Amino acid sequence: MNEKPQPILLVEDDPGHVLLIEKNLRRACVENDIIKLDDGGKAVDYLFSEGEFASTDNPAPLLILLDINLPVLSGLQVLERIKADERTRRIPVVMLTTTDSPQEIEKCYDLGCNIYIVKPVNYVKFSEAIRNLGLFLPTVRTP
Amino acid sequence: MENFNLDLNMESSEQRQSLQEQMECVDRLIQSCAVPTFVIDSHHRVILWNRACEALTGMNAAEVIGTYDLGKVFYGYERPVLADFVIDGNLMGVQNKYDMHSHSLLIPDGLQAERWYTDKNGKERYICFDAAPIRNNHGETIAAIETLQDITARKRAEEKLQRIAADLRESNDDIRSFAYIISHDLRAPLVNLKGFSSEMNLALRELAPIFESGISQLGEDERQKMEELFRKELPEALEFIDSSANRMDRLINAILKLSRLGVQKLKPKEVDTAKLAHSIIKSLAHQLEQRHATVHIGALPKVIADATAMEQIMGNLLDNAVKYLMTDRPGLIEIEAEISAEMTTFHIRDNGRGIDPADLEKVFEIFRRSGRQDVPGEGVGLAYVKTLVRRHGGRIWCASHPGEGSTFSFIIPQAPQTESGN
Repeated sequence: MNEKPQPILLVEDDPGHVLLIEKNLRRACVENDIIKLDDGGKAVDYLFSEGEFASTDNPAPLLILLDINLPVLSGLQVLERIKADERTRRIPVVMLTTTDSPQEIEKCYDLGCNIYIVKPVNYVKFSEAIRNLGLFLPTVRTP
Repeated sequence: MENFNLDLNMESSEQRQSLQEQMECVDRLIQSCAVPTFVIDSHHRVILWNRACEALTGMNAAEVIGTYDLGKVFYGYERPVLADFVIDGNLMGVQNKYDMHSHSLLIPDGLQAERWYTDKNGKERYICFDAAPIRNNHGETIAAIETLQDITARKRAEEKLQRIAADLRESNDDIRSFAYIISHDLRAPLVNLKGFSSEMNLALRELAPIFESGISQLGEDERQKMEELFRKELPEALEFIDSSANRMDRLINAILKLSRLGVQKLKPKEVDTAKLAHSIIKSLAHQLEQRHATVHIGALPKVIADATAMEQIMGNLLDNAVKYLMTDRPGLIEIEAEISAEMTTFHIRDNGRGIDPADLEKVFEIFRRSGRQDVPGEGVGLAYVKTLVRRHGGRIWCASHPGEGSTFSFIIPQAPQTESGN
């Protein structure tokens, strides 16, 4: 098993959050490449090899971390596309958001997201949540 | 009044005379009536046009009586009037001719309809038309009577109300999306503030051993300066960033909670307020003992309300009553209810420090607190209470004498008002 591990796709438009998430994943000893995209449209393009990613090699991600409020396409729209497509529907999706609105959480699960993480303002909790995610990674089965 | 084509068998001239008198009497009656009224016979011929009708339409009886095509005279183009539909006993096409129409609630086979009408002088009026058949002894329709009522003022008021209701719905939607914006967009920068100040703390900790080894090589002045920056200034600045971000988070959560309370669905059921008051007082036993306070609970009824909301309302008010008791005299708190057919009014009276009259409205606003700030709190409790009481269709107010005590009163209608929308 010497092949390159699958990357993690991180779709998040707040550069600060991107950095904090990456730092904490690395602290949990996650060594996978992290592909960072800052809008929902790019995420769809990457996953389905469309637009600017039409002619590049886009390895299927092991896991998708998806913010809800994104430009171009919202996280919910991206999630819908992912779960509706045979090529991507088995990739685990973790929704990230700052709001704990019950309707929104429900909607994400209805659309088939696997985990919903509220980015807490409390940093200890935030880093714990992300690190736990990192620890859970080895158990993720490749589709 | 032109005579109806009545098939009356006149027996004598006396009877004819008597009928003539009766007809004149009826004519005077209708002419004196303030409601614009006209009659058409079974051939659609106008046979009566009263003075109120003349006043409303600007058309004299002389130009209308005897004509067969009232629609054209009235509207200026070929179309039936409501009475024509009654004569024909056929409602085909009526819906296209009026803004709304229905069967009369008062007269069998009568019709009611509404529409805009432009009179001869170009004045726009919204008219309510009522038409009903006039029948002979055999039940045959021999004529139709129609009345016109100018309801323009009511129509305009309705339209205004509808606009206001639409505006309200829109601003309610705005508030809802505002809550979402607050919970998402304002929290996102806080995640960074907290995250990166913690990261800086981590970095400082990692720096510490390097700092220790490097600092000994500095001169005395520089060393002191570095010690000051590293051990005091930096951690202090980070601490302020951190605690301010925490406070901001609490404030955002408070606003969010308030806005959610404003829209969350109530589950009305029977709530025993006496039981509720006793259980809240029991939970406050420790604080009450500290203040040597006595609580009198009067006769409290069962009300139809949301149980959680009632608990929050009473809980917040009683908690406040206890918190703001004076330390230099034994506390006294009274809970009473006035019951009427339409509502229950609760009063929670204390002999605490009271509220400045200028602040009586302010205390119900979010983040506004009255008097000395020596009791911990965010200034959100009464704002929640006010929202919850309002959601029940009630209201809340406060009367107070500074130094003597306050009375918070709130009304819970017997049955919660039905709410529209979600």
